[in-house]
Amino acid sequence: MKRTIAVAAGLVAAAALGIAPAQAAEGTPTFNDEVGQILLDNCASCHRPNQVAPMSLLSYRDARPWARAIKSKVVSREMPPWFADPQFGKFSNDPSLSEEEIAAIAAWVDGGAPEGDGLAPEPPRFAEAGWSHPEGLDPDYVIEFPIEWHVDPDGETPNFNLFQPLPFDDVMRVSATQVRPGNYAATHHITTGLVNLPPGTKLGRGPAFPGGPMIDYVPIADPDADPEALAEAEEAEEQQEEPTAEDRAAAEERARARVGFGPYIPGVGADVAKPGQAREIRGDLFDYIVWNMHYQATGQPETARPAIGAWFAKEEVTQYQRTLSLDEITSENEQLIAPPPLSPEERRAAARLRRVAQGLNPLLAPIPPQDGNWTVTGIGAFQNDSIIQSLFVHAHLRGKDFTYVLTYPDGREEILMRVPNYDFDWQYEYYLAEPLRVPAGSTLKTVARYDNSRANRHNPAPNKEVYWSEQSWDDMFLTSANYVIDTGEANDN
Amino acid sequence: MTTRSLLVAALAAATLVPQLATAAGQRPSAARPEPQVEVVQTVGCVEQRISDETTWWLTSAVEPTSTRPRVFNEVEVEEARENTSGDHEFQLVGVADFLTAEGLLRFGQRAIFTNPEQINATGELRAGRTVLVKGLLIEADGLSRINLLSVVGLADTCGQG
Repeated sequence: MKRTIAVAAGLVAAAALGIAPAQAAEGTPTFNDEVGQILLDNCASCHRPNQVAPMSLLSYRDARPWARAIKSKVVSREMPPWFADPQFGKFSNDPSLSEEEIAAIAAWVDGGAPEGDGLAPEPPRFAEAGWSHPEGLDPDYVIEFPIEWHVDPDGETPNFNLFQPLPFDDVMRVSATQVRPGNYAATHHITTGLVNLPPGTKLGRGPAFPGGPMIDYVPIADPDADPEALAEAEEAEEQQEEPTAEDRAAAEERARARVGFGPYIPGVGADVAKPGQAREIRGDLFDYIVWNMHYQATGQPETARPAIGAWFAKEEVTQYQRTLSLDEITSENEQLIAPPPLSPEERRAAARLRRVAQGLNPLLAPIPPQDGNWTVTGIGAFQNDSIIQSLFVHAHLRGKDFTYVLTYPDGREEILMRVPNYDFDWQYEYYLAEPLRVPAGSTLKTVARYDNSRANRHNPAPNKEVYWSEQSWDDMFLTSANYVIDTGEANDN
Repeated sequence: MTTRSLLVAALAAATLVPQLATAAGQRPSAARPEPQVEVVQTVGCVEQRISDETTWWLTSAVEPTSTRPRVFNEVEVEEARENTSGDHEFQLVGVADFLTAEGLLRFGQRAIFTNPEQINATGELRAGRTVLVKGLLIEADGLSRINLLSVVGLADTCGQG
């Protein structure tokens, strides 16, 4: 009797979903012969247990109740989410479905979503505990966020930074890294970086953000700091002459190394280097990890404890991944010019006032209310023959469209990528299907536009002037390219 | 912490130490190699020899000096005004973003993703002006080219700062 009741209940559920019982009419695609593999190949990176998607699609049993919703989302191309214009560039992490795949899913649903005969497609091996290395490997090294963070059920939590000591002081060479959020529903995104604290400060107890809860792991004045040592350091700084080329090179090396372990972004798993490549985590330059946390309310109390996973580079490393920042900026038809450099005294005062953070876009003017096309262009320089591997875009709710343009040394321009409808919820790194060799002397530009008008459906406050910061009510212009130096060897690609 | 969890933690730490020794105890190798192409700044007079949007020159330019790819600051701009004329000549490339709006829209593929309502063109690059430029200095095919990163107008006539 129990079995009869269960079957009846299943039929009622199927009828409620508008789906006929799962029997394959001739010619109808089935889950086992076609649709299951499409879902595994294109959807399972998010649609599996312990991931960002609300339901798993790994098995027929998982997928069938959602069949109509799956059809609706794929036919409208809302899913899988992807934002690069297919006219410009091909990307290896593009999960977009072909017309044939969409047609197969639609026919499967229209035909009653049958399971089919034979074996179900085998899901890829995933690491336990939410790690996403494509080979199913658990990380070699894990750094946990030092506390469990409590997210309120409603309201907006400001973006905030917590710091923890970097647990090693030399160079870690990694083939992959991942930031695992610990709570996908409550985490919008996380960025991590490497920093040092200003002289005279240490980690201690303080508000996580103005008016926020008191927690450990925020920078505070160090009452035990040696005043003589501080005075000596200040004096040495004051007597410092104009920085030499070596000083500048060292500063730039530090700036590049700050990226550390990378971000957590919805839909993105482990950042895995190509064979023979690695990234270096510079414990020799930095003492602390800064976690920049962006949480969102879910309607119920949530807790989150993110973690960093690192997979060591175990094979011979011939190339190191680098990040090209696009630091030369024009905006709203003007070349941006920085104010005069601060004196050592002014720098110290600024450091005392400012929390150690990422200090982004300080020169950009605020976006006026109702401005639907506010422009920023960033330009970066390739000083060596290089191979571009991926392109990254980060903005907040006013981000509208982004176009990457490469200018070769002879003046030719090539559009590498275009994101015509940027979405704050999906901040992809776009991996070039064929890494692109670019000669020394090339420049890379991101031409960006922001929409602070009512026409932007994501805009929470079109009558507000929008400033630039890590807070999501402000906006950001953060674009970069991941590249390696082109040594001319065959294995570069 | 229970005895069991302490034991697990101790075992994990013991396992980790040799792994860290192989992964972390190394000298950095990713230091940036010597640049093949320098980032330079110079001041000169803008000249357009052919009336298209792609062929621009910086003439009577001062000796280029090595610099870095970051925005100019106000002190650097003021210092550039002190010496505005020399005997160097550079073809300028990567000009699109420094043209007028009309010039940018006619340039290459820009009209594909730009229209007059959403344009970012500084207009600093106009014939007969004195400008401070920063860019990648490329010596090839008997030409000295600068692939532009930044253009700051210093005067609306040549030879002035």
